[in-house]
Amino acid sequence: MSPASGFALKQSAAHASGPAATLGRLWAVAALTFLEAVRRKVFLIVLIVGAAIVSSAAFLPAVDPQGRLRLVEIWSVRTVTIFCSLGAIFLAGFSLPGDFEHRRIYTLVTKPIHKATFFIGKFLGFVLLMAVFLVIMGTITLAYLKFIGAVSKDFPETRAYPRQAPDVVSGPIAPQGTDKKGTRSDQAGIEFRYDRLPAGRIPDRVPARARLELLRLPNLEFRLEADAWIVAIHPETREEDAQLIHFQTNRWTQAEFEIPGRLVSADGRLWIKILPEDPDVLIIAGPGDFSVRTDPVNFELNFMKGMFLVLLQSSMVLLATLSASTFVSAPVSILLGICLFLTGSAWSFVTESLEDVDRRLQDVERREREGVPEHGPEDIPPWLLRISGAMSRVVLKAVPDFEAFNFGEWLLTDTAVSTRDLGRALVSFATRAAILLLVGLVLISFRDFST
Amino acid sequence: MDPVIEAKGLTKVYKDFWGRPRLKALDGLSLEVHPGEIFGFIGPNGSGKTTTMKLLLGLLFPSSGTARVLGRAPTDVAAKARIGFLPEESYLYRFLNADETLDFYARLFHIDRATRRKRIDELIARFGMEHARKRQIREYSKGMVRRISFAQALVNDPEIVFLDEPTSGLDPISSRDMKDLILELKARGKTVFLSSHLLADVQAICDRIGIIHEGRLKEYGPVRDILVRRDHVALTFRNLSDEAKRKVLDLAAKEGAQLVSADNTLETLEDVFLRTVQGGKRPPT
Repeated sequence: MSPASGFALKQSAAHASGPAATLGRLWAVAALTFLEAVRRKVFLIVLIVGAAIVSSAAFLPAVDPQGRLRLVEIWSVRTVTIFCSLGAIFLAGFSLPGDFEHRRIYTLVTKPIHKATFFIGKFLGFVLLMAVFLVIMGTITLAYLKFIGAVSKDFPETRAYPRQAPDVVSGPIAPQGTDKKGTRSDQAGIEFRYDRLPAGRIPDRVPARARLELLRLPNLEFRLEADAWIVAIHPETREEDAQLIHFQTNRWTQAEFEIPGRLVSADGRLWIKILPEDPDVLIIAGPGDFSVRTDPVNFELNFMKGMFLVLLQSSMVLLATLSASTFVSAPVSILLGICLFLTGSAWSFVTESLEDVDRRLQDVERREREGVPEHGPEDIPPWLLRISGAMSRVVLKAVPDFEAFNFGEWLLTDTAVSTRDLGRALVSFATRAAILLLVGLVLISFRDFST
Repeated sequence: MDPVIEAKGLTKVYKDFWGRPRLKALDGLSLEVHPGEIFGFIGPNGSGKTTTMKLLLGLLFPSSGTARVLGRAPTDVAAKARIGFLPEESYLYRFLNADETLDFYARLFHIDRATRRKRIDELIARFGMEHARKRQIREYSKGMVRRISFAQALVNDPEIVFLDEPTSGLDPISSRDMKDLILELKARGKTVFLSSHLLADVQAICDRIGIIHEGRLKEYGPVRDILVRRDHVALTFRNLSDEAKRKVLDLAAKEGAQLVSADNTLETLEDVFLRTVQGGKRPPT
C-alpha cells in the first residue's frame, strides 16, 4: 500500500464515528440490500403485476361501464398491495437469517458498524425497494387507466373526492370502551359537528353517507334495518333540512344521501343530527361512521398518496418480520409476518366480533340477574366467550388496523386520501413501527453469533 | 509495551434455549498479544480457538472475564475501525463482484471515495485479481474467493489482522503467497493473530504461540521457548570426520575440530502440539 493511501486511511479511521459516519454506513447497508434484491431479480414481480393489470382488460366487456373503472383500480391496487406486502415478508424473512446462517454477519459486524445500524440499514434498504416498486406500479396503473380511458368512450372518468369526517361527535348515550355515541328517538340525536370544512370546495348538493349500528330496545338485540332522520343544520342561521333515510345495520350501502351545500357556513361549519324514527330502536355511531365529500381533487396525486399508504402498511409488516427474524428462523418469521398481515386486514371484522361477544356476555349477565337459565343448548359457554374476548383484545392492541391503509377500499367509493387520513395513518404506523424497531434493535444488539 | 490484544480470565459457557448451561467452550483464558508480533493460536477442533477469536472480535459476549483490543472493548466501533478479520470460510455476498465487495466494506469504514478507489486498486493488484474484478463472486474459484476475502480484511489498512485458517483451501503457490503476505504485514509493523492447523506454517512465521485444549491455554510463549528440548544438546562441528563422530566430545579437541555451537535441540511444533493435546501419544494413522 502506498504511504499516501495509508495516511488517508488513518485520517478516515479517525473520523469513523459521528453522525456522518453512521449515516454513511446506514446508506451502505441499505444500498447493498437494494442491490441484492435487484440482482436476485425481484423486479420480475413488476412484470407479473403489470401483466395482471393489463389482463383486467379481458374482463371489462363483462362489466357495466361504471364498474370498469372499479375493476381496474381494485385489480391493480389489490395486486400491488398483496405483492408488496408478501414480497416484503419473504425478503425480510430470509435476509437476516441468511446472513446469520451463511455467516456473512461475521465479516460485517467485525467492521466498525453497530448491529443496530446494520438492522436499520437493512430495513431502509427494503423500504427503498418497496418504494421503487410502488412508484413503478403506480405509474403503470395510472398510464393504463389513461390508456383505457382514451380507447374506451364508455370508461368513466377517474375521480377522487375528499371525504370529510366530523370534528366532534356527541350524543346522550356513551357506550363503554368506544368513541361512539348512541341515542333513542325520545332523546336528543347523535350530533356530528364540522368546524373546518373547506368552504370554497362545497358543491350545491353535498354527498354524504352514514353507517349506523341498529339495536332493538329494550334488550339491545341486533336489528337488521331501520329508518332514521338526518337533519342538517346551518350553525348560524339554524336553517334545517331533514330527510328520512333507510339504513341497514353497520352498512354504508343504501345510506348515501345529499345535504344542501347552503347549510355549510362561510367559515366551513355544519351540524348534522341523527335520530331513529321508531321508538324501539337505539342507534349507535362514531366519528368514522359519518362523512361528507367535497369537490374532487387531482386523481393522480391522490393515487400516489394511496400508494404511500400501501408503503406504510407494507413497511410495518416488513419491520415485524425483520424483527422476528433476529431471533427465530426464516420460516417462522415469515409465518409471523403473514399472520400480522392477515390479522391487520381482518381488524374490523375482529372488532365487530368482539362487540358481538360483549353483547352476548351482557345478555348472559342479564339472564343471570333475572334468574333465566344461564344459556340455551346452542349457546357458547360464557367462560369461553370471556377468554376469547380477552385474547382478541390483546391481539387488537398489538396489531394495527390496516383499514387505515386500505386504499383499495377507498377507491371503490371515489374517496380521496386527505391530509388528516395521511396523518392518522402515519401516527398509526409510527407508534407501531417504533415499538417493532425497538424490539428488533434490542434483540439483535444482544444476540450472540455462536454458529 | 502495552498489549494490543488482552484477555483476562475469559470464559464462555454456551446455553440452551432455556438458559441452561450446555457447553463450557472456554475456561478462564488469559493471554496478551504485543504490537508488531505474529501470534499463532493453535488447538484441535472444538478446543475453543474459534470461540476465543469470536470473543476478541465482539461476535460473542463472554460469560465472565474481559477482552480488550487496542485498549477498548471488542464491540467498540473505534476498535473495530483499526482491525481486519479474515474468517475461516469466505463469508461474502456472492452477487457482488470484487470491486463492489471491497467498496462495500470500505464504506463501512467511512473512507472517502477517492481513497477507497485507490485502496481497492492497490488490493486488487496485490492479490492478482485484475482480470476478475468485475465478475460476480459466485463465479470465482475457491482460491479467488479466499484472496478477495483476505483483501477485504485489509481494506482499512488495519493495525491488527485476525486470520482464521488463512491458507485453508489454497494450492501450494497461493498458500506460499499468503505466508509471504503475513510476513509482509509484520514487516510493516502490523500485529497478526493467526489461527491455523498448519503447524509447520505457524512454527515458521510466528513469534509467539498459544496452544489451547479443552477451553484452557496449555502452552503459551515464544515459539523457541516452547519448542526447546531442555534435556537434549546439539553440538555442531565443522570438518568432523565420520570416525570422529563416535567419540564426539572426548576426541573433539584431539582431532582439531572446531566447536561451532552447543545448544538444546528443538522439537517440531507438531511434536509439542500432539504431546500437549494427547499426552504424548501420536494419533492412530
